[in-house]
Amino acid sequence: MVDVKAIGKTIVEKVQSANGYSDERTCGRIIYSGDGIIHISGLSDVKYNELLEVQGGYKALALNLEMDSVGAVLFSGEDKVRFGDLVYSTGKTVQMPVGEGFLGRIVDPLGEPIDGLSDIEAEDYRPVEFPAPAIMDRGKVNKPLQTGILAIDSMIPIGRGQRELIIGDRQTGKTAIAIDTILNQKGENVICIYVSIGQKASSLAKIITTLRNRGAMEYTCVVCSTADDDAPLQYLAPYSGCALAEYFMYRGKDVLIVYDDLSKHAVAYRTMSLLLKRPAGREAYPGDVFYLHSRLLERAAKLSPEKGGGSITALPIVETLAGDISAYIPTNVISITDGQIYLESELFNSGVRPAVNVGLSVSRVGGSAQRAAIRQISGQLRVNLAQYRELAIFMQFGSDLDAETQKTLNRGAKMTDTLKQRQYLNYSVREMIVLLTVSQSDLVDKIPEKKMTAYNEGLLDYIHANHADLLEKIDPDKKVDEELRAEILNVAEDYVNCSVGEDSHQADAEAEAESVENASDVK
Amino acid sequence: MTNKNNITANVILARTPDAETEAMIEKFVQERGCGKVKYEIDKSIIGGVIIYIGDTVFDGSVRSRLDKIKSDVTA
Amino acid sequence: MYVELVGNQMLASIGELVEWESVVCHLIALIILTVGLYLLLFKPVKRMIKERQDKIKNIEKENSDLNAEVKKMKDSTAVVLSEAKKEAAVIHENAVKAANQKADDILAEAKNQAKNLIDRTEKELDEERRGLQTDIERQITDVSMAVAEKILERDISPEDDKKMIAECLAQWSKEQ
Repeated sequence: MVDVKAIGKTIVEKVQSANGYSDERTCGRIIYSGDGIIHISGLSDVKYNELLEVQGGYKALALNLEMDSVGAVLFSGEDKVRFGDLVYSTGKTVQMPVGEGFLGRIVDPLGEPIDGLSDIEAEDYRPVEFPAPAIMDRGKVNKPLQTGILAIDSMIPIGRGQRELIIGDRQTGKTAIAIDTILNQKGENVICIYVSIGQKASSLAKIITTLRNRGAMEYTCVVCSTADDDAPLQYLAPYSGCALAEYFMYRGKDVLIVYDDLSKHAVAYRTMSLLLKRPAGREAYPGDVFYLHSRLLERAAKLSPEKGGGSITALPIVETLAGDISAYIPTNVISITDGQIYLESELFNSGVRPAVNVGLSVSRVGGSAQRAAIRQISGQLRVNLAQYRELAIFMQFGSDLDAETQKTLNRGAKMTDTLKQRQYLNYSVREMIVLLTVSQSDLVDKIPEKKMTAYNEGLLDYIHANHADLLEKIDPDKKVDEELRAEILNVAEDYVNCSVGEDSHQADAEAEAESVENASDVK
Repeated sequence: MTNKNNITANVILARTPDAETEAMIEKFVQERGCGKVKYEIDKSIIGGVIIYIGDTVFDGSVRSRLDKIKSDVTA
Repeated sequence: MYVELVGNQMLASIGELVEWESVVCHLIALIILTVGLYLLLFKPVKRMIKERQDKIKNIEKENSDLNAEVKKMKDSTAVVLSEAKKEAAVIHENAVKAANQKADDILAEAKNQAKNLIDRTEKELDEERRGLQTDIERQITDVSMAVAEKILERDISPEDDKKMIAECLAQWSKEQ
């Protein structure tokens, strides 16, 4: 239990090691305090973004430098600081402690652990605001970041070092995609940082439990500011997370950082700006709200091999209202990022999950990083799906369909079904190759329409249990040749024959009944 | 730069200073370019001296040293 | 005697009655009748019977053929059945394999979760202990500081104070 002797000893040691200090400090006095904002007289040599120390050990950030006063936001002690309190300048910007010890931990934007576990030993300190890598230091995005989600990896591929926006209304599965992506980095040697900005504590707790139960916390750090944290902390959170990510990137590691979500970040910044009496612009956001996000997202980059070749892949999340992607923050962030994954509540509600709108989603750089095999077999996918959508909308008006159209429609529906995926069910690259190959072959015509999803899962199980060697044989970095394709299709056909047997009879009977009906209609 | 000669240095002490101390303090303050000195007595600093010159604070009080040790130990 | 007489008489009367020509004629008529009957009646009937017999034979043959076929089918059914059984066994085996694997996975995950829980609890326990220790340290420090303050307040003489001030000023001057 608690060793009393040790306590005395440590205290004595600490007292003895307490060293001298510089007594000369620059200071000012608080002349206004309210809403987490303080105005300070004096402090004439303070710099922009400098960390201030308020009497009593509270921290503040200098943001407005005026002729005879300084405007600052408090990180803590909003209700403790009083008029007349001394404020010292520290000569430092806000620093984030960084290190390997942060993996598996939950910290606040100042790097303090909030998961109730021991203190984290910082290996280094990095400034929270840091210039983005220079042009010459950047390399080409050439390695894929597998999300494990078929619809994304096949059509909207993400490369390491890319910034891909996830945008959509509330309740469309934005966070689910990000979490699935983090879970899929297990064993991929990618460090993940999940930055929560203004999230509900309950949903955050759920996310953390998921990450922990699925063993993803080992390589993940959660930087969290919940909805009840002060606006300055929410404002700081993504920059702190990015500083931590940079630490790993400059050591040559690949990092994935999720900002969940930047619309709340903009709101927090708007709060601060309005309280600091900065002029308000469109939607009451301050004039530099674009710069707020651009300087953050520019720090996500792929470094050139000379610089260690590390990367930060950023997945910012932005919430839209009623699907309006032309609002201020969404347009800003869309123009900064290298592409977006657009989620629609209509699709979500009709059961297409993940509810990715393939037409509006793009990835501007990921294509070059896609694995050769996937690129080969998914090349036609987007076009086919677009054709199907067009046809499906046209056919809603209900007219007699010729056999060819019917077939296209059927196949399109099955393709869409194949792209549906349960949460936490991530496909490996090889599994994706199998699914894509099969779903684009003639084999799908044999499978009853409603069973596609179940069939896909069953097929993968079947292959894992009986044809593990086939999976081994697939090389994602090479094109799938005819021989391999035939082999995959053979195995799939076996499975179709033995599993869909009775279903297909049923389907035949249904089809017959339908054709009879049609015939009678014609008559 | 404002003329520092017009700035008043605030000096806080634990007890009323004798002439020698006053002379010492005034000399120091003048080195920093201050013309006037205003004394304040505050028992709670226990001992030593705190001097405010403009934005700069020179804190040599016993109280602040104790606080420093305390924060070092409990941190 | 009488009998003999009667017999003779009868013979004589028959001889009288039946003339040999008529007998011949009768015979010829009989022959013609027989031949005619044979040709007109007997032959068709015989043919009919033969036809019937053929038909029956055919039916019998068909029957036996059918029987053979049935037998063959029975055999083949058995083969198919055994094959199906085999296949079913394979599928079952695969299913069991897959199920086992899934079960193993689930078990492993559950174990993992349990381990995580234990690890975390242990960590939390350690942390609690550490927290307690820090708490005690803080309290001790508070008390010590309060005592130190009191002592210093009482014990610092004006001379000490003056010396301290002088030291501070000297240091600050040096720093500049």
